[in-house]
Amino acid sequence: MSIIRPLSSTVIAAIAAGEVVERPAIVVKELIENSLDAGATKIAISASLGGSADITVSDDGFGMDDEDLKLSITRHTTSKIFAIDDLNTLQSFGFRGEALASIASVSIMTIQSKMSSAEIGYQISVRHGHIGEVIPVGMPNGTTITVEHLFAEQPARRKFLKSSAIELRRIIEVVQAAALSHPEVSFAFTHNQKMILFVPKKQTLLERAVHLFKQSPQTLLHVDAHFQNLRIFGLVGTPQLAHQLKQKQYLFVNHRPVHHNALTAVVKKTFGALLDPRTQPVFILHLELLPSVIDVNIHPRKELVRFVDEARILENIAQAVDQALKQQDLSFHYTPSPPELAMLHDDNKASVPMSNLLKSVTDAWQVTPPAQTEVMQIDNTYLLTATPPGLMIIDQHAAHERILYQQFLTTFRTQQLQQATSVLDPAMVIECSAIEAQLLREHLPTLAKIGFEVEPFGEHSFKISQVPLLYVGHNLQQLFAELLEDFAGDGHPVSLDSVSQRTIAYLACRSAVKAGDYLSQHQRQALITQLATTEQRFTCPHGRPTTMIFTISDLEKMFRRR
Amino acid sequence: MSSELDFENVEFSTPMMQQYLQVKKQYQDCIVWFRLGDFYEMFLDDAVTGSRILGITLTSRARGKDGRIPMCGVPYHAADQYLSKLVKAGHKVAICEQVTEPDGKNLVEREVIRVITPGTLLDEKSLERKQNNYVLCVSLKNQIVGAAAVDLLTREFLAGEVRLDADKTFFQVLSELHACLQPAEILLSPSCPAVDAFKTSTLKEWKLYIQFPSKKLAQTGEIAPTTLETAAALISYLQYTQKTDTLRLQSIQPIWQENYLKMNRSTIQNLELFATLHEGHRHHSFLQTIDHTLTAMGGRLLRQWILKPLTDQEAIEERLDSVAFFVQKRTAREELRSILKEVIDVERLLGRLNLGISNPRDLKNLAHALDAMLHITYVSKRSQSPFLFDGHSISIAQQIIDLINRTLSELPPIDPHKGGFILEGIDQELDTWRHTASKSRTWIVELETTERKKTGITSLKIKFNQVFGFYIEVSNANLTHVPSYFVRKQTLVNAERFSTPELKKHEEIILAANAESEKREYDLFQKLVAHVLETLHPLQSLIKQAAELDCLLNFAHLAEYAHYSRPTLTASGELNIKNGRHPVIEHITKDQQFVPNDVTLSTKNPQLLLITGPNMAGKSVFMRQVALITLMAHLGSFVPADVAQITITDQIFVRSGAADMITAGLSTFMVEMVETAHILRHATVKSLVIMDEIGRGTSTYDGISIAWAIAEELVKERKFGPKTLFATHYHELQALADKWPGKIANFHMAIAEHQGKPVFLYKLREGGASHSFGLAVAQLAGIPEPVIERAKTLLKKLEK
Ligand SMILES: Nc1ncnc2c1ncn2[C@@H]1O[C@H](COP(=O)(O)OP(=O)(O)O)[C@@H](O)[C@H]1O
Ligand SMILES: Nc1ncnc2c1ncn2[C@@H]1O[C@H](COP(=O)(O)OP(=O)(O)O)[C@@H](O)[C@H]1O
Ligand SMILES: [Mg+2]
Repeated sequence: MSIIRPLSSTVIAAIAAGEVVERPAIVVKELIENSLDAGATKIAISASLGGSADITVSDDGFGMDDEDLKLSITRHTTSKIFAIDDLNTLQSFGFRGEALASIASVSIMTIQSKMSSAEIGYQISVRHGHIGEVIPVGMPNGTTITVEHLFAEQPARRKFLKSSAIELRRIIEVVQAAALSHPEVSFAFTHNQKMILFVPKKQTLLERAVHLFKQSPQTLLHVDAHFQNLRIFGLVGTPQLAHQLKQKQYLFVNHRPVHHNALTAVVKKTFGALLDPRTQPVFILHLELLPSVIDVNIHPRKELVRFVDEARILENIAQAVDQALKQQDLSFHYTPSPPELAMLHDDNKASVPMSNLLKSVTDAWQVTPPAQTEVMQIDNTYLLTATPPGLMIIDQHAAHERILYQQFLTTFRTQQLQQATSVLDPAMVIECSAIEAQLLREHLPTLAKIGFEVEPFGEHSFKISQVPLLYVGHNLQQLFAELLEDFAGDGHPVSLDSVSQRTIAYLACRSAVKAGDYLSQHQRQALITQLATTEQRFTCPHGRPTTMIFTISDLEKMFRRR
Repeated sequence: MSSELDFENVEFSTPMMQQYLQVKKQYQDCIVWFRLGDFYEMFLDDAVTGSRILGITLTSRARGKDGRIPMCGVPYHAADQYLSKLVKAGHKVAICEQVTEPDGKNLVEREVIRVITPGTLLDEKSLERKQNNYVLCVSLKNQIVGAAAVDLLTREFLAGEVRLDADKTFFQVLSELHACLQPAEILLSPSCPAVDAFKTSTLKEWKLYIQFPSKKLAQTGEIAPTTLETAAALISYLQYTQKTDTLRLQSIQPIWQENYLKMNRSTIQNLELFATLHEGHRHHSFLQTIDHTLTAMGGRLLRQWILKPLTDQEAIEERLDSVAFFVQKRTAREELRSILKEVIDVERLLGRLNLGISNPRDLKNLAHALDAMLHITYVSKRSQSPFLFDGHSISIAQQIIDLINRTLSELPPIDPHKGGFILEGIDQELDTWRHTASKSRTWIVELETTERKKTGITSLKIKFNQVFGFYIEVSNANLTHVPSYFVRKQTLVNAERFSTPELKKHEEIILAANAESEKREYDLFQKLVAHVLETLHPLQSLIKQAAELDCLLNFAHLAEYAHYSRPTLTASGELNIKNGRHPVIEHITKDQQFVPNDVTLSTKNPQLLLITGPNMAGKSVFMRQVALITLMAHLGSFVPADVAQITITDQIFVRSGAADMITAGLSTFMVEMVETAHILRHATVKSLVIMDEIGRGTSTYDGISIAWAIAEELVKERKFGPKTLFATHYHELQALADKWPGKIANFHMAIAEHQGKPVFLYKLREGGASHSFGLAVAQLAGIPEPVIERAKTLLKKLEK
């Protein structure tokens, strides 16, 4: 019994969108939507090379019989609507009957599908538009669709594919949105055989969001409001979660992920004074309303909707979000989470150096404090000072570490040691254990290059007779003790160059002022001035931030001045 | 070997070689590693064998009158890897160390400090992380087999005995033990029959060995005589290899488990619990598929759990409750797992501590690991976990952490003899020695300044090297200013080196003080170890609990990722599975393509499913999945099924046509019958029996008749028959269902046909299969067309 039918030419004329497949992520989106339309509870997605080599989506939905299988890949055939009026009661993602046909025309597509009522499953393959025969297969209930060699015969379009990493990121976005649209459904996404994302069945929206974003549940506020023929529910992030990119803004209309600028703007406006105007709130909002009062047929990729009564909906959104924000006391400690730019996957995280990310975010701070400005030190750890954009907080250890690292690096590279060293007379003796002695011996050449003269002096002792000028007056005994600990943690050095790099990083770390060291007003100013001219000043050599800035508007918001 | 030495008569003239010979005489069955300075040397035949196995050069040294003696050596600091290699090649190695310091006059005394054998290998790097390393000892006396096994590093100690009978031969008992424990070394009493299938060695010293430890063991509780004797012999053997009287093993556990779901060797193999049947690989075994434990201890425990599935419903539910909790509380689970991930193998660490082969770094690592336990306790309490560590062990752990951190420096060296790891303020004597050395060192540095002033030589330097110690260096240009009290030590191209009597004196003070403090530190370290060992019991118990937690978290993790659900355990005698899956095959099958199946079995209706269908139809996978789901439920794990009502089961038998035991010299069919006989004799109403293609190993008519008779035997009233899945490709057997209505039911694996070829649907259906697709499968496999055609004609003829 077939339930897929061809649409009439009038319907086609009214809804057809033409070509929709542009990139792997769209293939994934269409296939997942079909799976969800089929009532799936478990959806497994796999892809390789960003989806350009292959994409598979398999579900445990109600499947198709052999007749439907043949029809599913013809253009303008669908089981989801029959007449144009059906759009008024549309519950599904799909309605145009175009996706499978379009995908099949630009790839090798294999569909396997079995209905739960049937004994047998069926399979059909389409090679770049050439349809093969239907053959029976043994398989569980549901549908598995594999798309290979996407655009193999459309070199022009293949050329427009971005790097595998970028295409992968887009697919992740799609899967994430789907996972938030249906938190009761399990999703597993594997890329190049590696599990990228997994969410189990039967989660609540909150559980799903916490799982996906590794955010603590306390930072997400429940939205749930009923209006006439409209329910708005979901989550909004507390103001701390706001950041500068419009990430983590998800809007679903009857589960369909959509973009809607006016709506997004209203949410932000409702946050109002709670938010720095330059940052964007985090939200996952679901709108449920009668299909008859929205128009989903306005975008080829079905990413936009039009509301019949947009004004009222915007108003209701504002009310719903406002309610959510009011239910909790938000006079919080301002904890700007480190800019949440990295994606949730280590893969991508690694590809963007943290320092770059921070730079782009802290670019607003290009000014150094006027020299006379008083610098405060609190907890003998943080330096506070006023700058034109606002309050600047510096982690004194991290900042000094970066300054020294860059200085050592320069010294190391240029080898201009003469002026920069000082002879110790009498020399100093340090004592260490057997392995420490061994380690120190291995690192002597590097130390020499940056101005230390260290020689063996007894079996496990060393004589230090010359140090970089920087160190005069420092507790060398302690410096070396700590340095040795670091060396030891590293095992055996691999190459001299990396040894040098590391030695320098250790030295910088060990010789920098510590958290807990008191600094004089002069030292504080000097530190800030030096930092301002240091390269890569936004992170310490280990990648932690050195500087945080609270803009005037941050402050205004904290004190509810706006 | 022709070059074998007659130790009684050979003589060497050098004292060292005489000493060597003394040692070698006592350890003739070992390769002797003779410590000479920084090397372990092997001589004579040992050198020949050693150089061959280790791939090191065989040299020969002239030894005066004795001529040239073959020898080879390995550096002591890289000894571990060489040692493992020799031992894994099946040799024992006696390590003979220098026990006195060389004084340049007398011959250094040497002693064998340890004998390393496959079962007593202590180098963690060469041991399997998630598997115990057992020495198994077996004896036979008056038809009773005694067995004892010890894992030296985890200190586990198992022992017990069984009586042999008609279908339990000595060899069978041994191979069951072998399948369960996978011992690295098997020792037999002289009374045991010879065994070819496994490498074993006979303990010739049996009589002597059983004497002493017996008395001690008998004091620890009621132990049957043969068990006692065997355990005693094993202990003596271990004491001989470790050269110690105190092994501090854990208390004896029964080696043959009662009150557990039993599985015999062929069931373990056929279910591919630890290795696949075909290649014997661990990859794609059941254990490997379900093992996501994070610690070595957890991994070893999970393996033990699989061999000891629970049959006590309450105990199972307790595990299931914990698993359910952690399935629910995802955040707590992830947090605990991230802590466990960092925990090293503390169990073996304690083992090394116990055997006196630990170092200061180990203690520090112990403190770290114990610290993780405290962290776990904190997180568990906060998240209201039902699984908490016991408070006593935790407070002991806290004390040990404090003690270690108070005493040892942050990053202590590996060698406990080299000093430099005990913190200041711990021991007065040590502090005094250190102070003495440091005063002299400061004096020497200051000497540099004073001598520069006195002599006016600004470039004068005091330096140090290993050969000359401290010296004053003056460049040639300044030699004229050198005072008379400088004593010349060495002349270089552009400088001269000097000493002074005072410098010499201070140097000696430093040397002496260093030696004293090293000695003192070593003593203090030993004291600390002894102190930690006093708390061995509570620490061990804490580690065990951590291992358990690891296993429970593993089950929860698995349940979520693989979509398992909680089984219901009953005593109803019924087995009911909805949408069951095979945990391993499902995992291997990509894109969720595994076909689930239902099954209902009970003590009567039906009690035996007769499953027909051609090869490759999925019969074996289905039957094994029922066994594995049953097993998993008894482990306290969630199971791969939508619904699983599992009745408490006493034994699982999986008999499969193909597995063989060629090593035992039995024909396939013989093995099949021996095993079937065993099942018929031992299965009870509470057992689950899986018979895969029984009667395959003989002619068709033989096969059919035997299979028929066995099926009947399994359902006979008086037997209160076990729940049975019976797969066969003999369609004739379908008639059984008519003869035993209600008891035996016909099922088949569904097949569709497409253009004359079979399409496997992997779905279990009621009723018998209609005809064999053997030919179609042959075609699928690429048998040439003419052959297929010919077979088709033959088949038609036969069917008439
Ligand atoms: N995963 C699936 N499970 C069941 N049916 C499916 C699946 N994917 C596609 N179909 C069937 O194929 C038809 C065509 O799919 P598609 O080309 O995406 O168009 P649309 O989704 O707009 O109807 C669908 O209407 C549906 O009946
Ligand atoms: N339920 C199933 N779903 C998917 N594939 C299966 C299933 N059962 C078996 N298979 C596949 O069929 C192969 C043959 O199965 P098997 O049980 O060994 O067949 P038989 O015992 O009938 O000869 C298996 O290796 C597996 O790849
Ligand atoms: Mg669609």
